[in-house]
Amino acid sequence: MKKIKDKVGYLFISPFFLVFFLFNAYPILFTIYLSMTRYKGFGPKVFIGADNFKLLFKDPNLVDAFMNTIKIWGVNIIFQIFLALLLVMIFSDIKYKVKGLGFFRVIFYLPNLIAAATIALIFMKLLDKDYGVVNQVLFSIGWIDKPIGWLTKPIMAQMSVSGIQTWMWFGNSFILFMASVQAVSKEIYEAARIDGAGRLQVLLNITIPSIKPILMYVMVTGLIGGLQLFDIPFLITDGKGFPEGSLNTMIVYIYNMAFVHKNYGYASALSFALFVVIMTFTVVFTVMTNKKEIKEFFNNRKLVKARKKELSVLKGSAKI
Amino acid sequence: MMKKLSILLIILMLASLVLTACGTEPATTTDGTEETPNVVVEEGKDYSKEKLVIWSFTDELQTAGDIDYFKEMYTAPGKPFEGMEVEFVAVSIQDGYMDKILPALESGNGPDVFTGELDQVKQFIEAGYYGNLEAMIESSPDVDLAAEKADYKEYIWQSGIDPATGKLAALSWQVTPGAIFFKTDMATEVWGTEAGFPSMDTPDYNAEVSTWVSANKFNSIENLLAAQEEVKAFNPQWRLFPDDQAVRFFAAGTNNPVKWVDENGTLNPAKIKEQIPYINMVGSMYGETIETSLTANAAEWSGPWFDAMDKDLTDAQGKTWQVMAYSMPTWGLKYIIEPNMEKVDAQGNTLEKPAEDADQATKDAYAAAPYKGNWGMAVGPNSYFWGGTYVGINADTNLPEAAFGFAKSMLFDKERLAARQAVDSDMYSVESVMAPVIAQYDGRDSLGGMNHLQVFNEEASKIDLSNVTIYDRGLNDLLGVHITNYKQGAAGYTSVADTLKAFYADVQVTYPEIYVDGLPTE
Repeated sequence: MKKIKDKVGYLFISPFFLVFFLFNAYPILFTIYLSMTRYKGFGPKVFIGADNFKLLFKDPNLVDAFMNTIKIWGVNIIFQIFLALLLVMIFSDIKYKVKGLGFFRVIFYLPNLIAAATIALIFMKLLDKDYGVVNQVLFSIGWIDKPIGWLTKPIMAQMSVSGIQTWMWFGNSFILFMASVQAVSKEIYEAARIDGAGRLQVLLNITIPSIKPILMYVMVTGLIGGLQLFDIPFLITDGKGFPEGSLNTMIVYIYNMAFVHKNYGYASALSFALFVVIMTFTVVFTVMTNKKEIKEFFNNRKLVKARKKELSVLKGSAKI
Repeated sequence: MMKKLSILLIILMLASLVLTACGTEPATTTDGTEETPNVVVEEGKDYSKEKLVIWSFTDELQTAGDIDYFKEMYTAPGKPFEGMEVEFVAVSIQDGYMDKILPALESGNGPDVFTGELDQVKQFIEAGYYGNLEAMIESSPDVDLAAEKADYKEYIWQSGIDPATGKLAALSWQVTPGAIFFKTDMATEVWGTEAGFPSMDTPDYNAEVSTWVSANKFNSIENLLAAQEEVKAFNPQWRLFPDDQAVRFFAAGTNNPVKWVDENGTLNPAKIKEQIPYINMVGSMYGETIETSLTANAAEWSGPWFDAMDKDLTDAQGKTWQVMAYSMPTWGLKYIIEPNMEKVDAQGNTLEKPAEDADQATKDAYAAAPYKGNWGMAVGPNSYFWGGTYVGINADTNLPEAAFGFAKSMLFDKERLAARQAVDSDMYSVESVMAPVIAQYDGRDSLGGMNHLQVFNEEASKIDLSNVTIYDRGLNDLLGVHITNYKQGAAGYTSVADTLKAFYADVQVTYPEIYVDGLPTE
């Protein structure tokens, strides 16, 4: 009877495994399979072994696409977290007593609710070099004497996309940080104030340590999402990485390889390489930011092992 | 237990992979040749239990009444497929038509009839998704293959042939040749004093100007570039084209273009050499600002691109620009340019376009007003086409007779095609439909009464698509990226040779099967 009860447990957890298999494990395995074939999206899949992986080393665009992704993500995540922390500092400051937090949460989160296509269209019109509103305004107030190529100069285009990403996502980070800060007792902030701590000291010594797990969560999910950056870079110019390939992110490159050039095999090899990179980055990042916890974990394991050893020695001597 | 579960999961995954890898094969006979599907209606078969599924990348089949016509002629009471359900699915290219239809066809559960543009059709044919339409026509008592072949535009018939069998697999009722639509009043100001330019009192002024411009200004890549420089020199605020996308159709510069992929199945060096004048032209057209550019830097399909059709463009600095010409195919005149052309009142004054929220009477009055009639239609260095809807039948359909019935109603029912053409005024690929229309045509008001159908018909006759390959769109796209880098002076792109080397490096990873060493760089 007990054994049957144990097996029923597996039945209860099976939906998760089913969904995981269908939507996570299967696509990954199928991608690995495709990466070893020449496949146009139709017709036969010709097995070619590791040829597609060998092409990775000849690909002139791969490193550029990866670096583009890192640059756009890097600038975005720095500003996103900075802006969110700045707002957290303002909204958690007991001196300011800012009212209407709920209202501001909605306002800051709104850009995240707008479809990427709509955002791309709006910014295309705003940032157009020759006919855009931004340059028009800058000309009219006399700040520039020639149009700025917001979307036509590589570095400007990357920074523009980073800016848009920051605008879209800072509200999300702010909400997460704020929820974490609100869990901290107000008395701690009051005590710090009485002790004469400045705003920066409060931020560095109370706020950031208290939101560290959430901060790490935002960084890791931001990293995973950032390396898969696609919609805005794809939609805001020509979908091929214009200008000068600066918006050709890894996923834009993979998308074009698969769905424009119909080289599903190589696109799968690229996807798999990206998967490995994301895994590596995530592990390295997690280790770097959780050194203390990891050290504690291994120390505890050592202690447990030593304790077990001691116990077994004691048991052995007791038998004798 | 966990170990067992893991093993089970791995087995399941591998099984799925194997199952997915096994595609369905088209029906073949024992000697290996493809079976000709029976297109004769089965007597006594209850078609009310059947469903014909039709997919298209445009909703035109629905909006033009083709589905309703088929139902009326084939599935209504007393008709051959009485009671049969007809399901029509429209998925636009932007919504991923190919991404949706390819897996459906690969799984063997694709639609019975499906459409495609030419390069998609080439993929469908290569994959063996289209059945042998020619064999179906031959086995049909109602359609005369030889007569139909003679009646259709040669390039349309040629382009639907399966190279593996030499038989027709898909066909289009449309032809979509392109032209260069231009403002005759601007052209008159720029070139009006040149020898042979038509006099203003010539009866068919727009047509005459179009012929002159075609012969003297747009007839070669070199002249097309010179024409842009002349327009800019005449008036620094004028540009011939809105942006350099307008000249992409003239990359070959000849009506006998070379194949992208040669007989050996590798990238054709002759095609590369053919592209070099075009690369140079695009490089010369580019300028970082509108002042330094030969175009108005108004990207295709952007707001300014549309605006320049009937008004001056105002840039961010407040400077104004005018654009003279657009490269567009048949449908571009009707759906893109005409809705943006200037309209005039009885005194010839330009009418203000009604706002979106204007009352219906104002909109109707504007719609009824005559065009200014200041546009002409010239031809470029080479004939070209853009778009077109081909119809084909799934090789695996269980309803070949009904699918062929639909193909017949779309392609070989001349009365229906004539009635359809009378409504949409488009160019059709069927000579017997178009010849009387062209002969009786009064001319297009928007083009000052010019018989543009005649010009389109002649252009369609010059198009040779026997050299189109499935790589064309991809390779043109890929080269386009490097041409853009070259014209903008990106790092590492100082010459055409650099551009071609970068293009070859991309081809090597994108299409390794066609890449060869030693391709030309000049």
